[in-house]
Amino acid sequence: MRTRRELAAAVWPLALRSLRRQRGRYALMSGLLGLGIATYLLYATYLSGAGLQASLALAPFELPADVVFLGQRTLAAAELGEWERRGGVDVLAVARLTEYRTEHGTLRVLALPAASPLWEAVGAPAPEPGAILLPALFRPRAGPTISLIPPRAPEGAAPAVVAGHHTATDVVLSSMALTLLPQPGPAPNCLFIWARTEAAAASLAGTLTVDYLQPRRPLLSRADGPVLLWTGTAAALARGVVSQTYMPGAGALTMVLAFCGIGLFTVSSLSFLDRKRDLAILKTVGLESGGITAMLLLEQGFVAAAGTALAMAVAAATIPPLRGLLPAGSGLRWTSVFWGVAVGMLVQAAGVALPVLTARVATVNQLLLNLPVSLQRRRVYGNRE
Amino acid sequence: MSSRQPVTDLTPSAEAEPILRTVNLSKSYFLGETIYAVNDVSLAIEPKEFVVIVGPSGCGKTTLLSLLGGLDRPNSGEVLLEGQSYSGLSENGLAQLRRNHIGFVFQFFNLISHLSAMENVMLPMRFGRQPRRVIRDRAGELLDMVGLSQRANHLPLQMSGGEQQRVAIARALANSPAVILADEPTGNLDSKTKTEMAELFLRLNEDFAQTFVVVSHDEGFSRYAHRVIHMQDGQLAKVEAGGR
Repeated sequence: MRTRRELAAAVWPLALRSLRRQRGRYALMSGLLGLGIATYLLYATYLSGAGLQASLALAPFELPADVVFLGQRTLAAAELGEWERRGGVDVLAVARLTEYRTEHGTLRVLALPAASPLWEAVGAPAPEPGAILLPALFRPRAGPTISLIPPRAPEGAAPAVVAGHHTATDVVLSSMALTLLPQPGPAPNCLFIWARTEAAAASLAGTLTVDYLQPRRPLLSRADGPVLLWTGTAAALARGVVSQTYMPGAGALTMVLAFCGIGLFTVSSLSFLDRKRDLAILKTVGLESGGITAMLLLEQGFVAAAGTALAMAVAAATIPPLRGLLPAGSGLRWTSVFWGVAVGMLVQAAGVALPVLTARVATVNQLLLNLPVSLQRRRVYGNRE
Repeated sequence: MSSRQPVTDLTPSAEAEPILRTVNLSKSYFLGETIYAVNDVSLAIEPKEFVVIVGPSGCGKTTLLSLLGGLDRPNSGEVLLEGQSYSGLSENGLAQLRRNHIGFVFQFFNLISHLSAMENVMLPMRFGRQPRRVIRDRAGELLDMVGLSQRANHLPLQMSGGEQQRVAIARALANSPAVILADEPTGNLDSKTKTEMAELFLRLNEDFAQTFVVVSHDEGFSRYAHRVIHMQDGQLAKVEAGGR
């Protein structure tokens, strides 16, 4: 039995001749494959940004924040309405979450509206202006205007606490206060600041950035977006996130890939019909089924390479100009390229499998006389029908 | 089904085993009723023999040739080539058998149109394990043998019918087959070329001891044959000596 290498060596000149002879058809196949892969890459790029927003939206109810601003309004009315409409889950609270990534970890700042059902959910009384609520386990250490809590807030089912309030006139969040957010890293490590107005909240945010983040904690990146604090099931939230984030592009991608697969099937079938006689001749002079398959797979390998190269070129040309239309943080990642090529190969395989298999199993007479070919059974010589 | 009795042509030979033999070979198709294309045929082809199979259209000559060459599968019976039965061989096994032991010549030449004459002749040898240089040299010799060395780099479409058929014969000889099966090799040629083709077959048989089984309406072949087998309704009707 000959090795695969020997088979490939025997048939690759035939594959090259076939590519040259039917170059129009193979160029069309490459174009179709390139279109499918390029569409996937564009969708993946969109998803990388939309997915970032979706991940912000998936914050479970753990008050994932190091600093919580409470104010009259923390989100624009339109944003609030949009998120309540699109949430699709039992939204406990709508807030705004800003993540500051520093070398030493991530600082999360959560902005909650003043009238939030959060307090009822955690069994804590709604804070009143000026009220200071302290956890049972901790003692206040601050003066009359700011109360500071210890480095770590209570974990688990312990109630949320409001540890201080701030008015517009206060010089709030002095360096001393901010140093009491000592451990960079994930929550819980909460400092609640009650801000009466948006302006107050904004000034607090500015102070936070200046005093806490710089110069001692160089900022690597900042992500900002609406966040839902939810108490529904993970499945319900997943459905909501999927419908908001993935669905807009998935339908279009599916249609494009289906179009490409059908196109590949049509062109490869036409190519097979045109080559039936040649395939019969090759089988007559002694080329085994493995050789036929190797030849056809070599041809499809060229199509795959050309289609992938085309897709990369299209993606490189179209993604930069479209960046303004894509969600913030969108970018083409190498993992997306890998998966795009894999999806393309899958579509190509689905499109060309039937003609390749038929060429492999058909007998000489079936090819020469246009007799039907069954893929279902392997017939041994002398099969009685 | 014919009322005639089948002629069992198991020609006894005092010499070597028959190179190609069939035993009760049958092939049928179901088209509303069972139609026997080949019906219980037993025959033997001796080494170096030139056999011509004749008969009216639809008598089963081409089907018999397909069965002899492993291009089709019988419903019953057996074919043996140099003592090896085709039974139980997979498609790959039959392909290897055809590559190493059988040469084919068809009525419509069946050359690959985008390969030159040299490349067409090299084709069966490519699928073996010989070095390319050896293959090329051998192909050159074969083209020279059939008088076409000057056409080595021409495509089939650039050659006449007779020249294409010569290339097909050279291709059939590529792996020094035990037997060459030819299905109406002159069916698509003019009368002058038919004669030349028949003489080429004769020369290959006489000078190189090549065994031929030829299906043909052409009387010229019968003149050069050792034996002429008449088929009728899928059965062997008569066997007679050829013109040699």
